[in-house]
Amino acid sequence: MRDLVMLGFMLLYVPLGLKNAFAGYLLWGWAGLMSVGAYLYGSMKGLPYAQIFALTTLASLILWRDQQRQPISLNRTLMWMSIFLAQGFMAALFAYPDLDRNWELFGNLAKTIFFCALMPILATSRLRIHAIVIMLGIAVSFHGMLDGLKFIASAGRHKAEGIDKFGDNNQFALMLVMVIPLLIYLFRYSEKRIVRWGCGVVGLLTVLAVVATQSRGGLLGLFILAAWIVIKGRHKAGGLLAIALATVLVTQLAPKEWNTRMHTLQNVEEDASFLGRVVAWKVSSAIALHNPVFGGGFRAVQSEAVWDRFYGAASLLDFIDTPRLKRSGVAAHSIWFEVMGDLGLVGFLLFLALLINALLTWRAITKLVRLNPVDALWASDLTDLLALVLVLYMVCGSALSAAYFEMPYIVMMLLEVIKQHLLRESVKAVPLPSS
Amino acid sequence: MIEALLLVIALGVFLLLLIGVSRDGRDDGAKLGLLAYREARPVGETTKRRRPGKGGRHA
Repeated sequence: MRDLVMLGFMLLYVPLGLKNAFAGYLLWGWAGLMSVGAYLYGSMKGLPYAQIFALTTLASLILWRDQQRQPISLNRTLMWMSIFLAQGFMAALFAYPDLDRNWELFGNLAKTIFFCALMPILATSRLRIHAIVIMLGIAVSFHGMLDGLKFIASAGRHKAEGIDKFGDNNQFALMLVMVIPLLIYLFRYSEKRIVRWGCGVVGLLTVLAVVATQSRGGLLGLFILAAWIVIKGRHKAGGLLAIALATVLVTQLAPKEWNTRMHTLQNVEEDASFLGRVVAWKVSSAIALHNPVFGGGFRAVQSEAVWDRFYGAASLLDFIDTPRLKRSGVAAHSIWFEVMGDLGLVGFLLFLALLINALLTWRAITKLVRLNPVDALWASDLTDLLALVLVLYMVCGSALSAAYFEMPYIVMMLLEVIKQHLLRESVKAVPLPSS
Repeated sequence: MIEALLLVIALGVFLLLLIGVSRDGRDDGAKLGLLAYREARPVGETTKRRRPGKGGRHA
């Protein structure tokens, strides 16, 4: 039945995507993040939705003239992303032999950056930027909404594992916590009350879904989110009320095991799970020290042969004593060490440059907003929340393998797109000299 | 059952977004509820309208 419904929607989606390149672009992004196939069980399950909509978008771009389209130009964010991708290609080319997902992960990164490269061409107005935020909100928070409801229905016993695409419960928690700032923006800036409150309710359910993942990284993310709302938020009273409401809900619903697990955050030195991660970081940095230019290739650390070769070798974290691990080929468990092991020290510096560039773009937008503080307040609020998404990614991702997730790359390009939009608007606002 | 229902709602909401986006330019896409956005209000300003006769604009 679900498959028939999906088929019906596809018959509506594809023509819309073909008719309008930006609609196709939204479908492409939505299909990648929503992973709708995970909720289907029949013939529509295995359909490559993202590829279909990518082709739809490209066909539409070639066939029709979009009035709002901007010419292709190389901006700073795209430049850094392209260099990072080139580094990824070289790393995949010179990778250690027999890495399971080497070219697959490079392909995923290439698709993500290609998607981001089209954003400045198509997202050329405030409406379109708003539409991208809605697309991200719908696609990711759908998973949060479902698990939040299951958490309530099971009186806190449900453990959210997420879907295969997002990895384990920790990676799922990171994905969910990163979408909450976007829901806050939509709650504040949507005109219709039903949309506003819909975003509010889904946001609260997503918070519960983060709790349901039983991820300590997820809880840390919620703390950062709460602190940001209190410190940076313009509506501090409303923010404090929302935090209080969420805290009451969480403490009432969370099971005893959740509380026990979260308390282990206080003594990480004795936590075997944390020390296991440090061992993986040591091996990743040892790979990078041995291959500083191109690294070991995508997910090299997860190859047992590579792990065994570098286990105990000189690393950047030799000053930390760690127990001997019985397992081999463990995931990097940190975006920083993941990139370091996969793409070398050069790749790590490029990854850092990408994130620093995003934060500089945020600063540049803040300066542009000062030129027109009333009309561009939305841009200031949106970019503050997008920067929060990146901060959450950098902090919570420090203990997770999530370096090639689509969401942070999309957010980085969205910041660039907002900057370009404000620059165009400021040029329009300058009066022409009278003749 | 509820999961299937929510999936259909999510697909429908996304369809509304696409219709709004494809109407933009020809028509005002923002007129469709989902895409409509508002400007930021200064902190402290209430969302409630004052009723006439109660000290409001029409009093």
